[in-house]
Amino acid sequence: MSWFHTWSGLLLGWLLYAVFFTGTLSYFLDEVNDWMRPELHSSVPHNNALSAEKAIATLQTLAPEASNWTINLPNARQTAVEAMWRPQGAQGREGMKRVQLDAATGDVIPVRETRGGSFLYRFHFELYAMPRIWARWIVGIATFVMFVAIISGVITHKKIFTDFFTFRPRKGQRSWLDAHNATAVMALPFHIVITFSGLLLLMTMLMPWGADAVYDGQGNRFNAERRGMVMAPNGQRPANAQAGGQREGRGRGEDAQVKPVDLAPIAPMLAAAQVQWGDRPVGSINIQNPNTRRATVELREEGGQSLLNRGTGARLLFDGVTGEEKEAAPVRDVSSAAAVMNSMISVHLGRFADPAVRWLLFLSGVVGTFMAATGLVMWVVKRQPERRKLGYTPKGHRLVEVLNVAAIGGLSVAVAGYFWANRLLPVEMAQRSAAEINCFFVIWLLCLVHAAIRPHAKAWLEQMALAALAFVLLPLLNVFTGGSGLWVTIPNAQWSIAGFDCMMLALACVHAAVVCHLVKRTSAKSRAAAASKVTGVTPMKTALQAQEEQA
Amino acid sequence: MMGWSIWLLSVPAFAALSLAMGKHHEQVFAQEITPQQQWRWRAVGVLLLALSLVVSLHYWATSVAIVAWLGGLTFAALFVGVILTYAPQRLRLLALLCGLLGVWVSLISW
Repeated sequence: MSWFHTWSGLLLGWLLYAVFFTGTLSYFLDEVNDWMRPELHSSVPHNNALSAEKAIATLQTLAPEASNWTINLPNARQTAVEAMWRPQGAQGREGMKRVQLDAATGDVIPVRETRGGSFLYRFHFELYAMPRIWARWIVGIATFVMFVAIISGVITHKKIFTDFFTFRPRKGQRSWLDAHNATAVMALPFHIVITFSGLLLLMTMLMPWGADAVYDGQGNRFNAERRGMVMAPNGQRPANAQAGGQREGRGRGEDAQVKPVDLAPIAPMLAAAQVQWGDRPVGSINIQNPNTRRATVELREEGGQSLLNRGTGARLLFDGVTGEEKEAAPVRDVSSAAAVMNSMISVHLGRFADPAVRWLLFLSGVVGTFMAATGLVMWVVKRQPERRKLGYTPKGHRLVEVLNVAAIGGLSVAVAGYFWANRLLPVEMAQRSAAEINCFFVIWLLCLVHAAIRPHAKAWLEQMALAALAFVLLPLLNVFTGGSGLWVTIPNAQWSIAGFDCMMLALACVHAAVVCHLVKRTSAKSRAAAASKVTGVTPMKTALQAQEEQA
Repeated sequence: MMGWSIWLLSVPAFAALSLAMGKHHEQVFAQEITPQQQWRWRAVGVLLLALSLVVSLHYWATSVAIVAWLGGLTFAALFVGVILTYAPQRLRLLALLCGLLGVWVSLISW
């Protein structure tokens, strides 16, 4: 079993490291998106009731004829108001129009073109520049192998439990193994759930046969039933469950003859929600058929209390014209199978999570990233004695060294470079978001070249130092390229932006710690080389020994 | 606030579980562990873990509570591991402090 862990770990480790790194950052997707659009930083939310009124006023001028308005109010993870509307007759997600509004004034904020954190999020399961299905298969297979490796690892490596609390620093390979074990075993619940739920998310692609057999290949019907939607037997949605579309279009047609109807003020509805929900705020407002007699206003609670229903919160429904509360459709009970599925997926996505749980998931992701990194480094460290015996470095070992530096150090530099590109590329540039992503990959490629032409220890040191420097300067770059600095965002409680800046500083600290460790190791090595001149031992040999002792 | 008490209560729990292991018992008390002591430390550890689960279940809905509890355990165990590596003599004091603080935080925010 051990050989399987070693070799699958090596081959998939580079991919899994990238998946872990970008996936962990994706727990702060909204924060990254806010930071990467510095135009939004001037929007300081104070009073969500006021923001809602202003947003409705803006939508009234932008899209009075729309069939639906949705307003996502600012919260700890979002500093501006996101307003969306569906023009008459538009279908699907693509039919939605979307703008960002200033929380205080309701003015439209024009934002730069960027994929933002969504690029990192998509990259962690769809990679880039290859057919989506291929990428999902590659990541799916890697996830599957990791799941097998976790389960078999727990069974075969019994020693991980007797060494549960053991870390032996400054012992070369021993220390790397201890660190690898600790990060793997102590975050084991996270690793098991994240890999298993990752497989569940790709379930219908990896294993379509069960659903195919039962649903005669009607995948969309299976998915709809799984999400608790009602479907008629022929796979069409029944007319009464159809949101938007023709039925409401007809309603609009009748109303178009008469004068538009004024909407009831939103503030009393928000107040009613506050009475019922206490300190749990309203997250979003959904207005169906605005400016018509059949207008309805639905308030949705921010976040949710349970994982079983995919983190859906409470809802309140109001008549849009009279402002009276209406009976909301009863929340359907989820079946046990759906509850298991939902709870797994919700943990993976973390959308439900309050800040404490979100941070736990993020830090667990960091631990997982460390696990992948220590495993990769260990492959090299473990083979040091063999190399010493041979007296030269086999090509395969050198290849692994180069790929390790590029996969670990290079990815950090590339991610930092992506954030830099976001601010340094001209705002009005054509195909700007693609250019940002190209910067990411070009920098990553340059890191690979750098790792190949520099000696191993130097390559580590230089890339880690560059990453630390790039991360630590990002909060400053933020200020000089139109964003708001920490001294503005913290007093204003703009936690999404402040959180991103703090996260960059934390990343800089982690990389700086690695740099310190590497510098100490190098100076110990040069001391050993100096000593060996006196004693007459070949410097190469002592240097390698010193490196191993220090590793 | 309550989120912290899960971690605070799991630190003494994992400290007790580590003291039930011969290697770490010797590290901290400089004497070999007797089977009786071993069972006693294990019982203390398991009880404290159960207590932190109860606190978590009180604070969150069951599904989220289990996630938060397991997350808290991860970082409590890592913390105990770090202490055992770099300052094993401090383990008893730190665990005691964490435990008391955990009980206090749970009580005031119950």
